[in-house]
Amino acid sequence: MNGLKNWFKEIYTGVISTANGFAVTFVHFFREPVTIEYPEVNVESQLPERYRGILQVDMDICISCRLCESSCPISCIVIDDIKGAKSSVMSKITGKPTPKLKYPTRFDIDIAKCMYCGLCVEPCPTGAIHHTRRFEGTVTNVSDLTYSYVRPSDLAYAKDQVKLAEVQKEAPKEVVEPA
Amino acid sequence: MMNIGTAQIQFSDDEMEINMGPQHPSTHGVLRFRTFTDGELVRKAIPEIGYLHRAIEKIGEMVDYNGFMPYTDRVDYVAAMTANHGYARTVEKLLGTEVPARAQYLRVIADELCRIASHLIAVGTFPMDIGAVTPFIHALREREKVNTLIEALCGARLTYNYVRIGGVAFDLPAGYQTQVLSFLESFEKFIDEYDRLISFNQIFIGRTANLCPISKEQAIAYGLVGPNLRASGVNWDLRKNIPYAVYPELEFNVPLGTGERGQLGDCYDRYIIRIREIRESVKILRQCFDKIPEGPIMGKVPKNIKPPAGEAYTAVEAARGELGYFVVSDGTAKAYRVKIRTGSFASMAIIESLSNGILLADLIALIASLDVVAPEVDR
Amino acid sequence: MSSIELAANKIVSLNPLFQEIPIEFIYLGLMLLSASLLLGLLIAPIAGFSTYIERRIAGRIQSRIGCNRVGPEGVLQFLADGIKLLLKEDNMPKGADAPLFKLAPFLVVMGAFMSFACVPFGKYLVVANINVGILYLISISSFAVVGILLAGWSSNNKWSLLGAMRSAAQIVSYEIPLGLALMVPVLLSGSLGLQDLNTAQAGGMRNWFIFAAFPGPFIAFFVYFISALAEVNRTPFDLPEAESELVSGYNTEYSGIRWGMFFVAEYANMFLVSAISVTAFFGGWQPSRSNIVVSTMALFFTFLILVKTVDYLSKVIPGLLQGKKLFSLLSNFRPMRMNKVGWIAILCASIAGAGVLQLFADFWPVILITFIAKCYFFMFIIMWIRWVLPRYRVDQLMDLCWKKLIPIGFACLLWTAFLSLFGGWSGLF
Repeated sequence: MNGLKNWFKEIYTGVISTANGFAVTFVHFFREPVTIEYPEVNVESQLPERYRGILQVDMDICISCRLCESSCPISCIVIDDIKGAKSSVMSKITGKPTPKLKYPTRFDIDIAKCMYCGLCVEPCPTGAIHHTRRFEGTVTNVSDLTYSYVRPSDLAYAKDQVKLAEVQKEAPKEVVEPA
Repeated sequence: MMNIGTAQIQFSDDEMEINMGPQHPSTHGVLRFRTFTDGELVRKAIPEIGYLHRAIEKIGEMVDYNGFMPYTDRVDYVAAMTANHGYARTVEKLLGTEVPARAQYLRVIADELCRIASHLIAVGTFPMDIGAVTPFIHALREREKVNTLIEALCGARLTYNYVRIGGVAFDLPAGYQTQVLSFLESFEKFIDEYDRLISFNQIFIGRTANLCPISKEQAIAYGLVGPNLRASGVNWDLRKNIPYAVYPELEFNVPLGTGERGQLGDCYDRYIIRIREIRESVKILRQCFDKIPEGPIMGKVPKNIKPPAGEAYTAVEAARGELGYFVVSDGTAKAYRVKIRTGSFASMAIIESLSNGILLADLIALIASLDVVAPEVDR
Repeated sequence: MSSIELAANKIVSLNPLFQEIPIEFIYLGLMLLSASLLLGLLIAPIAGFSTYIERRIAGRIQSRIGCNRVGPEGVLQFLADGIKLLLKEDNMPKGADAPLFKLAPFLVVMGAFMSFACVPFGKYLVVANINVGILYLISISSFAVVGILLAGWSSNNKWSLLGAMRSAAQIVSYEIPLGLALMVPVLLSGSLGLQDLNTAQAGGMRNWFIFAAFPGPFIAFFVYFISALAEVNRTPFDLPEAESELVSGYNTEYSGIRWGMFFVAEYANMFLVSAISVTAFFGGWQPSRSNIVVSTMALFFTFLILVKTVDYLSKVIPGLLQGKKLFSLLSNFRPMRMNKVGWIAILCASIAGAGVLQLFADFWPVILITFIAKCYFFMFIIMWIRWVLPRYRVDQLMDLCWKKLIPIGFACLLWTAFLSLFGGWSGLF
């Protein structure tokens, strides 16, 4: 008798579970699909502001402190700099002027190696290096993925600052007479 | 129902070796099993690991302590926050720093969101291996929402690098609490719907109940941890037994397997435990948002971390069990040795002994129910 | 007189020369012609189109869109798939038995397509009006077993062989409840011929067999449906082909259009299952009130695709006239999404259209279209089941067949026979 009861129970549970499954999936026919139709939809604008996309370096405010280079765990940042005259840049983080003594002549990031961890962005004192929300960086040649952020204008500026430093060194020091 | 899992089968000599190679239709990663079968019943399934070995532990000796944090993400990329958290706790133990309360709460919030995401993959891929594809897609759809929440928090969807030694990297963005709470509202309804779709489906129960039950003694002997251990009835959860962070202040239950549809510790138990743990995580998240205090998110940690020479081991309860870090420091800026102990490693080991006398389709179900992810096995 | 005989007589009377030819040859020629027209113009496109419908349904159930890029709303996807499969490399495993390997897909396709010769799509729209239609159907569906076994054996692959043997066992076992369940409408109509099944259900929905001798044919329909699902290897019974946990069963070593033939045969079989369900239990092609609902469905999708085609052409043609390349135009725009107003407009138009169609209910194209739409309803159910249920293990599958469906089938048959014998209360209405 138990076997017969089990037999009917199995049929009953089979029908009920199928009906439950049907009910759940039927509701889905009337819901909006969640597909984002990329690339017709602009995904980049929907990303949050903290999104860690491809790096960008603002060379105007970079003081070449090399903190980003040393904190990168994969060593994908390479910086060369030269010493020049002292100037001041406005830090984006503190809002205060920061002295700049060294001028980068080479600032390369290999974004093929970069793992977008954000460890270089944190110690930057001026906020020069930061993540953008750009994620579409495909190129056909992998060597194009080494981004050089130093522009010809930065190189020219660095050379000017070096000359200015030499001029300042040779100029007689102004002696401030106590009044 | 045939009690296939415990059948005693005599095999003749014409058994063959089938290779369930590293390329797999299911999504548990690159795992390889050498199965000896006579076509119907499996005699032995020997796992071969190492296809996803990336030498993370060796890299720990080559980068400094802060720089190793992104690598811990890759130890278990399905639930990366807990991996971050474990490493941070170990180094903080070496340094002896205090983590502020707000940072602890933020870590727990991130952990529990990750636990939900990871369990969604586990309960999604299990029915997919049994044959029902729809629950997998639904689970992934919800996981996308969790990913978007975490993306708003720390900027990345898979490899978070959120926890820092001494605290966390970012504070909650504006409006985050309302976002998460509204997600949890819809999510609870989703779990009910998911249960209705697959968890109580007769075919699903017929395929998974009574399959490869693992007894309490066997689970402890093989060193299983996490939901696999609790499904066999052992009440061991690091969040309750060796509490850390703010878990002592939070109220939640630890679901235990009871063999409700079959035997204790069978595949169905392991599955339904994960569904229940998802519900518990939702509870924990709500409590965290109620109780989180104001304050700094980063403790006092030197810029260049050079812990005194010594060793420390701490473990956190990750989605797949105890994720432990053993860090040996020799006083320099780079660790001397980092050893990571993961829960999936033991789960791989038990498969060989359980695989005697089950059908091939059941072998797949077994692997999926143990929630083995390849990055944890191979690191 | 069947339609073939009528047509043959007409042809003979056209030209006295034709009277020299024995009339059997004219019958043969006409049958070949009508069978080719049926299979080539109706069934093959339906089978291909069903693959597209399946993908859209799967997408909607899973909260995603499905394929909507190739052609307006994606309707040309199956053509693109077919072309791709034809262009693939034709490779064969090393130790494979070449003649059997090449023959197997043909046998499976034959098993699927040959059955359509006896399915009536209208009063005179039947290729071969044999009076043992049900018997013919059940025996032809066994061709597929031979084809699958050949595929498994000739692949020189242990996995394929095992998958094939398992599939053969499954199909052969499930033929028994299939036959038992089909005996119920045979009993009610008194003939094995499919056209007789149709004529016995004439006169509206109350005469459908599913409502007769309640609950005998009602349960028999479910027995038939489940057994037929197992016959065509659809989830939840797709163990042979989607042992996708490991390999793909007998399909493994097939690639390109050979695999495409297995695939198309599966969808043709699905259509056959729906057609037989409709014929045996739901009134066949006989016009009835249900035609309004079915025509609404059919017109709904037709208008939807028309609207999207207009939108599609409005985006592609100006680009072509400007000289852009067709390839880059075909999928480089976001397909139009319908809003609520659009849906309601299409719904109203389709209801109106269905009402108009009812006026022409006896016109043979209308009968054909509504019959196919009715079959598509059942195809929809079959596809829906696939995405809801997980897969049965092989022993549970056999348990279902032998321990559940066969006793239930016998019970339905006995009940129906009992009620038919004693007349009396014979139906719901």
